[in-house]
Amino acid sequence: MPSAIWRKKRRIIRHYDRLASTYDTLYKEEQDRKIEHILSHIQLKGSDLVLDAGCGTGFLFRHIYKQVSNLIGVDLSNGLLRVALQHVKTYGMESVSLIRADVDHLPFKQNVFDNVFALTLLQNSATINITVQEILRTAKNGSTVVLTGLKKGFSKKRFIQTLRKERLTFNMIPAPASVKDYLALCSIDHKAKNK
Amino acid sequence: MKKKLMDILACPIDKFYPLELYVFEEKEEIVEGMIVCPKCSRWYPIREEIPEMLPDELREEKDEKPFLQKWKEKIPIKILNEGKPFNLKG
Repeated sequence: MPSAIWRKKRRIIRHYDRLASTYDTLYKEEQDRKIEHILSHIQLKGSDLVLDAGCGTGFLFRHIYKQVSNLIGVDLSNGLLRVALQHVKTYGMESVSLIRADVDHLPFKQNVFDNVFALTLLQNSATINITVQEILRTAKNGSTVVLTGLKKGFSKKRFIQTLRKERLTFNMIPAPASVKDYLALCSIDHKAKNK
Repeated sequence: MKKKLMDILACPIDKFYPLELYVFEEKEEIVEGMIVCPKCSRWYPIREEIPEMLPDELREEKDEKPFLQKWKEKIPIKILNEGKPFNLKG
């Protein structure tokens, strides 16, 4: 990867480390609204292994940790993960594990997750195609991947083009104006994609 | 960190698995430890319960070498001498 991309990643780490202590106050209401809307469109199973790519302080965890057996949260920012760990302990979220990692270099085998959520993540990526491909690599055949694009960072056309470029089968989830992202529900079929 | 996490982990760089786990301090979960890729000799610290599996470019020598020093009695010699991206010989 070119050095400019690493510089951007380091900037993102510094930005979110600085924001960590106020992150929940700033974003919880907005993120909860989005998460509730997305979850009304998908069905999780108790045995599911779920990845939350770019988990931040774990807004999603609190909505689904009782429904699934294993939920893995990944983020670049140590500051955000430390807040997330506090929440995991406070709420006794036994199903949750946290890993500090880069979504472009995920530390997982391929085809392991039943559901992947990448919420309000892609606008921070300098290499969106690499990010999407790496997320898809870890998703099982037949799994569901939820990708969202912050309207501030994407036009709807560009967001859809990005997903089409990866030859994804997806449906856009209609959302009220109060949801600040475009929401895509992707069905993963590795065989069809590689044809 | 829960030990069962090892079942799904692979090296973020070369995607090799299985990875090796070294536990230095354990309570209900692993508090401090190290995950090693036997193929590329990269090591990843587990600090205060969270494994850190970052690419080399996002790791800082000033954070990583003290970790090697702190646990050098429990870290395999090969990693102390040849581990990537940092070791105590280099």
